[in-house]
This record gives sequence, C-alpha cells and structure tokens, in this order.
Amino acid sequence: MVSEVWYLLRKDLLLELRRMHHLNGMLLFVLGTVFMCFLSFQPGLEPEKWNALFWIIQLFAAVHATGHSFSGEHPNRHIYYYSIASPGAILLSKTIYNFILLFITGMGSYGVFWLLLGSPVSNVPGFIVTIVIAALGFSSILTLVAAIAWRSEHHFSLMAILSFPVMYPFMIALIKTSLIWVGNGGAQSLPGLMLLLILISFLALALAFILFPYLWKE
Amino acid sequence: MKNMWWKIAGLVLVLYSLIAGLLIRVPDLPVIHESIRNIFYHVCMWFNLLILLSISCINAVRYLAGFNEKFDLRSVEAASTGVFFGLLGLVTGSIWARFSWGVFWTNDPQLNGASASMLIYGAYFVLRKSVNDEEKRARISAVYNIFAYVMMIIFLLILPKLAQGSVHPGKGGNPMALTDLDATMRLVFYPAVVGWIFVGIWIYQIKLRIRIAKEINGL
Repeated sequence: MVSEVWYLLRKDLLLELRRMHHLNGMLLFVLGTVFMCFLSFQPGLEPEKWNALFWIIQLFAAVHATGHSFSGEHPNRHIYYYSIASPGAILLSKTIYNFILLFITGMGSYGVFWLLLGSPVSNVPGFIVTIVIAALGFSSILTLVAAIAWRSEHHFSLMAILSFPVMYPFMIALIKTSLIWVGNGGAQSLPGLMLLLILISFLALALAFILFPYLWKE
Repeated sequence: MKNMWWKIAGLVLVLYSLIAGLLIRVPDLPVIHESIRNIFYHVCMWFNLLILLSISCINAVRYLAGFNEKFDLRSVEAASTGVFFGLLGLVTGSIWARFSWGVFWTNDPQLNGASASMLIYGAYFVLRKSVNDEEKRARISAVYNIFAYVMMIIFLLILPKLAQGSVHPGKGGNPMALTDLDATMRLVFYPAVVGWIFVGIWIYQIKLRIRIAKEINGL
C-alpha cells in the first residue's frame, strides 16, 4: 500500500515537474485574482477583510486546482491504474499530491498578497502553520468531491456547486483561526480551533477513503 | 388498518397543535410577545428536516452496501421531503424574525446551518440531474449524500460554538430557551413535534410509493 502510494505520487510529481502546467496555472490564477482585488479594493483593506478575502481566494484556487485531479489523464489510463493499484492508494496519492500543490499555491498566494495588498499578519509562523493545515483540509475534502464531479457528465461546472456547501464548516473555522494571527487577533481559544480543523480534515479523509472505491469502479 | 394508527395520530396531533397553539395562554415575554406561538409551527419543521435527511443518509449507506435500487429511491425521496420541510422552516422562521427582530434574515448560527443544508441538498439534486446512467447516478449521489451529510452535521455542531451570539431564544440575552418552556406550552409543543414527524414520514412514504410506481413498475 505505502509503495503503491509512493509510486503513484512520484508519477504525478514527475509529470508536474516536467510540464509545470498545474502549478504555473495556479500561480497565475492567484496572481490574476489578487491583482483584480488590488484594483478593486482601493484604498487598502482592513485586517478582517484581508483575512476573509485571502481564504476565499484560496478556496477558489483549491477548487480550481483539485478539479483536475482525475480528469487530467486519458480515461484509458485510468483503466490501467485500476488494474494495478488499489483504490485507497489512488485516493491517497492524489490527496498528497493536491496537498503539496495547495501548500505551494498558498505560500505563493501569501507572497502575492503581501506584495500587492500588504500584510496585516502579526504572527507569520502561525499564519504559515495555518496555510499548511488549510492545504491539508482542502486536499482531503476536495479530492473526493473532485472524484464525484469527474464521474458526472459536466464535471467542471459541478465542481464548484458540489464543493462549496461541504466546505462551510472547514472555512468558517479556518477564517476564525487565521484571524488570531492577523491583526490584533480574536478572543477564541487557539488549540481548540486548530484541533477542530485537523479533526475535520482527518474525518473527511477517512470518509473519502471509505467512499472512494464506489466511485473508482466503472 | 393495523398500520394506520400513527397516520391518524399524526393528523390528530397536528390538528390539535394548530388549534390549541392559537388558543392557549402564553407567557408575555419581551421581544417576542404573542409571536411565541410560532414555536409550535416553526421548530417542528427543523425536527422533520433533520429526521428525513438522516433517513436519506442511512438509505444511501444501505444502497452502497448492496446496490439495491429501492434504497436509492428511498434516499432521494427522503431528501426531497426533508428539503420541503426545510423550506417551510425557512419561511416560517423568516416571518417570525420579521415580526420579533425586524428583519427577514440575520447572521445567526441556526439560520446559517439551515441555509447550508438547503444548499448541500440543492447540489445533491443538481448532481443527480447531471448523470444519465441510472446505476451510476445512484452510486455517485449516494457517495455525495453520505459525505455531505457528515459535513452538514459538523457544521450544525460547530456553528453555535464559533458564533459570537445568536438571535435565537436562550442565547445572546434573548428570553427563554426550549428547555424552560412554560408548562402549558409543553402540552402543545411536544405533541406538535411528534405529530409533524408522523406526518412528515407519511408524506415521504406516499412520495416514495408514487416514485416506485413510476420507476420500477413503469406506470
């Protein structure tokens, strides 16, 4: 199982390193969106709004990035994977791949925000930890939704419709957590919120692990 | 006749709560005053929503366990009946909010939870419409149903803890929680809840029978 995940992940990462189309696409997406915000929000943004805007753009980027998890390859190749790997390994490798992609996008996005809209973040290491946890949650929730959308006929339009409602619990907890690191910080208890985010992520991952075989089978 | 008792009981209890809810004396509390009577009609809708959506999720699990089309139909009909009650809950709640708090919609955990569940099941129906193959549609929508249900429950559980305050009773300085209902009001409220649950399940069963007649027996 571990070696299966490793080989599948290495295949995805190698493909990405050779073509760089996902990562470059994501960074351009973020750059374009943040530049749009820079043009629209004049003059500047308060910390609370900066925070909410940052995570909403992250959500859009994540939906966009994970939406291609399964549809990027030729359908015939999926039959090949089906015959050589277990569904759990496929799901885990895609989730880890999305995690790496979303973490890099998150950091890039923070950099672009910092350049164009300024950075009200008062505790940078804490904020970066939040970006890691966000990548974990986004990848574990959205990989399954991407698989569901991929199985339906109009998967690109469905991806956003299906994923936003299931993202609400994670998103509101995430925005609250991140607000502690931004500006003057909120009054919420931090360990509880962090634990909640990690708990939601792993619950989603466990559910995805159980449910994915039903989608993978043609 | 032997399985009819709960349908009759449901009808009698709902009729009783509709009439008694308007006739009994209610405590005169600040902010809500006489509009407190809406508790007999509005809150019951939410109990129904949660119960029917749970039925839908359980049937989605049963579908995946054996791929029996019957469970898929149960799952989708329970969800659509649940959403119907959810919309009724939103309407009754919105009217109540207009008369006691002056607005139709506010930022409140209960309202947000309710609208999130409506959106989730809206997405569920869109997903069903977009897959043509019946067996595949049943499988994919069952997976989404289970996943979305769990996320919705998390949302409903964590929302009140994360929110700053609520306009709902018992929270944020509002008078009266469900737990300290006036004794006379309990006499109407509990029968109303039970009655509406029976009626909700009855509606679900009728819709299910019509669906089965159409899809399986080809009428």
